[in-house]
Amino acid sequence: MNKRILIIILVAIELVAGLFYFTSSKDKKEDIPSESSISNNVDKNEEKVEEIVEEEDTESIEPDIAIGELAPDFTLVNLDGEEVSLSDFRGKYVLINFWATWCKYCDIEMPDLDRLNEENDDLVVLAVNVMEEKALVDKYIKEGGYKFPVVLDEKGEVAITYLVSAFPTSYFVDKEGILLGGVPGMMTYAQMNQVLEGIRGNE
Amino acid sequence: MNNISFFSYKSINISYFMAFAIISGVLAYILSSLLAKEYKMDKSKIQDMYLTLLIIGFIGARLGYVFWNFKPFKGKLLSILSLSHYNLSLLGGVVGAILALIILARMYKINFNNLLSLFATSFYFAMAIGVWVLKFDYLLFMSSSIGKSENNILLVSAMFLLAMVLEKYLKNRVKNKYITPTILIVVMALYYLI
Repeated sequence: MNKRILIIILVAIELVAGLFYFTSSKDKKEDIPSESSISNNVDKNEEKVEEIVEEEDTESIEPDIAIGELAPDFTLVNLDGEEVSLSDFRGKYVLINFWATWCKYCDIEMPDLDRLNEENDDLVVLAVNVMEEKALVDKYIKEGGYKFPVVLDEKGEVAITYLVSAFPTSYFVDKEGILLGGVPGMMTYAQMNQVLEGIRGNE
Repeated sequence: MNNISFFSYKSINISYFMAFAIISGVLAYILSSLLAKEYKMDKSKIQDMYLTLLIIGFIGARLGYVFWNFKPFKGKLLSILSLSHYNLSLLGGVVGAILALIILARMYKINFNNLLSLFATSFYFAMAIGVWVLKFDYLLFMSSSIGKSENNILLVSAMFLLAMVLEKYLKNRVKNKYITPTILIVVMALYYLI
């Protein structure tokens, strides 16, 4: 192996080590949830959902999207090709669920979301599929027999606005369109109900 | 929560994928040019071939994705054109690039194995750097084949580095034309198995 090749290899190793160091220090600053941690977080979510309700006046995620402020409105196309806006659901609580067909925790959560949507007249589950083909989403929803409205975030712009960095992620919006809080990771039916009851109790 | 864009100013938006693709692509281009001398090849020919492989590789990556996920595209072939970095296939890109390389080797009358060795080295280098994009684009990470654990990113990056070292070391030591394809096949298999 000549000197030039050796230098190239050393440069490559150095770059990889640099990226590893940079991303490791970044991870320490930002606690990005991983799918493997989502299942562990299920129990913790019970505490989180209580906090969402209790701390809705003080908690804030990012300046563009703030708890206690109007949830950023969006208009997306549903599976029938019709435009659906978040503001169409004023007068009802909205659970915005960001999901994808490949996400196994979204898959587990779907029947509970459907049940929640069916059992509560004052709540709508708005499922926002992120950047997948319409045909794929349509097939998935039909196979599952889910009845909640599904919209397609084809460019992922709404997911970006809502700072979605893991699937599934859910946000709760009240009857006036105020963002109440977000839950990264999967929720159980009991947890969803607990949040909903908490929101109702606070009104 | 992390930022999805590498750079954003008004309507200009550069995703992390785009940033990493450009950086690793440029580094691979420089490396291919440097290696041309090592392989006693014409530098300008290698640079031309690199750009051709890049384009064909990209097309292959898209077609590969469509091939392995054909159902949603049935009867809607035009939607093949609506692409993003979330619906590309690395294997498709590699297969496309190899097929293009076979044709280029004949066109330029250069030994295919030597060409494959040169571009495989650049590919490993680019991938060792490029795979770190998964640390910044969480959606891409979750949809990738290595999205089971974040530790896999380091593992895959190290694997590509090792492949690069092995390619350079074994190519000179073992005069066997099957060395380069074997390393490439093993690396690609491990990428999808990790």
